[in-house]
Amino acid sequence: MTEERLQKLLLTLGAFFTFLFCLSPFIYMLFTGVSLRPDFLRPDIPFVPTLSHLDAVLTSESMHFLSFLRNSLIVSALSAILTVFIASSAAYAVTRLSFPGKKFLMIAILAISMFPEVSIVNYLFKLMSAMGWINTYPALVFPYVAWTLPLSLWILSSYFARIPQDLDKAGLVDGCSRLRVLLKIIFPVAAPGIFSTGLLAFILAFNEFLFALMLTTDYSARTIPVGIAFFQGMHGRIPWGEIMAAATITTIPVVILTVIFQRRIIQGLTRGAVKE
Amino acid sequence: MKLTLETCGKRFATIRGFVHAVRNISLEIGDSELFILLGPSGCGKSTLLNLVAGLEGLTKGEIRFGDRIVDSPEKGLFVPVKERNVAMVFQSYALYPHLNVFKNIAFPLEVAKKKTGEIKKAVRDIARMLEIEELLGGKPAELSGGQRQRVAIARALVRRPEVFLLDEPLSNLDVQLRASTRAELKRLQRELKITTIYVTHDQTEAMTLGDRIALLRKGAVVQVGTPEELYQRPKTPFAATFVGSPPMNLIPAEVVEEKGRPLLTVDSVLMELPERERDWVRRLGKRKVLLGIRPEHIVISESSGKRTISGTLETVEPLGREYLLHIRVPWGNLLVLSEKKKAERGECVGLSIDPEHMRLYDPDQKDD
Repeated sequence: MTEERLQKLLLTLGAFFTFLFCLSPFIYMLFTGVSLRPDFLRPDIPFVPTLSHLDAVLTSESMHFLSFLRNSLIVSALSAILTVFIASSAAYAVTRLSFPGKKFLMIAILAISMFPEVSIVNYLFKLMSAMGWINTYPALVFPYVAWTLPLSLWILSSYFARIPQDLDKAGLVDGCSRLRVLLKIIFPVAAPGIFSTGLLAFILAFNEFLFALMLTTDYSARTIPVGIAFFQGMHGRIPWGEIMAAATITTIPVVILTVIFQRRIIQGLTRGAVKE
Repeated sequence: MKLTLETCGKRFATIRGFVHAVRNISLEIGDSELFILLGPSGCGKSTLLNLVAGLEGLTKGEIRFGDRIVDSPEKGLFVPVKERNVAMVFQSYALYPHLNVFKNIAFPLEVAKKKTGEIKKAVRDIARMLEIEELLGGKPAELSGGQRQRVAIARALVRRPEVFLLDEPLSNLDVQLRASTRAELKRLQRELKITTIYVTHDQTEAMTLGDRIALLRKGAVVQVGTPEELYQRPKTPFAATFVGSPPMNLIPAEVVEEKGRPLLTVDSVLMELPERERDWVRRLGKRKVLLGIRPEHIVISESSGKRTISGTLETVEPLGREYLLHIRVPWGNLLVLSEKKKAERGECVGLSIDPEHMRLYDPDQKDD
């Protein structure tokens, strides 16, 4: 066997096992969600497919799954949009204007983003109670924006820094105001970076658990991660089928978003990786 | 429109203190003149262009477009870039990558809220002028460097600006394309009669293109004049070596008095002083001076005589029509242009200098 073929084989095998390793929990989730007996992996129990769990999750009033899904989508989308808008405006300022203490500001923002969530969750609860916002969307959207903003700002700053300043100058000379340069030139040119940052912010908010657990009390604002976690206690047993079915549905929006923006995101993630 | 720059200064605040990018520059640029800002990198020429455009503000002095003051920190006046009706072309082209060529050219008109029909006509006209009509549907990424620069020029000229600014527009093009685009730029500028400032570090470009040239160094003007003036009468040693290719030779020389009139010695060879420099030498009152002489004004003879400097031929560069000879002399190297090869490598040659073409400089002279 030539070295080249061996290399190819090893590469294929490596890719295959990595793929399998990453995907196996999802496969398990998928099968458990549509299996009559959730513990079907035991050899003595046959796999009998059923859609009853999916049906229960989607139709059962008492589970409120659709409410959770709606809450999650709204909260995550609002957080992502707000985050991206604020972060890209800030990134534009940071990369284009000179003001004192810029470096210190960026380092401070990075440091703040490292604070663990737990350290502020108590205070956040008191704050939201005082505001009367517990169990509403703003109670989640504002902390999520604050929480994802530092990372988004850093990603977008490095992205904006790679857009040549001559483009700004050209825009200004062509008669634009600074704001117009940002909206008409920089945003469209930075679209891949903005989309991937937006998706990242969306997924972070979509998966967030601790704040959602503390700041919501029922289905009117509760998001999916917390909602699914509470399935366990509902009927005195652990409803694995329903949990897995719900989890399966939950992955769908993220997959759809990724597929829609796939081309832009790949551009965004790989751009600048090599010298252009 | 006439442009006036009066004692303009620009300093930037950095962590390590102030950087003076432009110091005390005064220039007058005539109506529809093609004016060149020439200088090595970091001489402040691009900053000066940004100041005229209004992308930066002065810290001192005044800029006037015609009679209108556009920037004067003393009077608290600053007209922002979008109200100055200037257009700019960049070395990096700076085309908007997300818009096609038509949209790129139309962009300044759209920002100015012109009517659609008007925009279409203006874009077609300028595209025809620059011969890029068939490119209008393409994206900038699909064009070659030369085509991109044409689009950038079209975008700048489409709204008939009063001042046309170019920041090293040809530096990214290959040599042949550069020469042809240069000629075309000159033709366009003559046709449209727009006051133009052109920034470059390439002295050939400056010489071939400009009506007048301002040579800059370290944020200050060294010399302003026509290309001929800069070539024939450079004011300082820096101007002498920066303009012209191959550069002017600078030879250390000493002034000696003989029978009441000053003479020059180079490496103990006595030489006549040109008439026009005698008063200057007397006024300077120093022994040591720098003698500037262009490579084409040194004559090579095979034998050395009383009035010739002797040297060794080191390298011969054939330039086609003539040869560039590097000649080793006791104090360094001399460049000589000669139509014939005259000698072989390693041979001794005699060099004589025509006093008419000598330029003399004070070796301690500062450029600013």
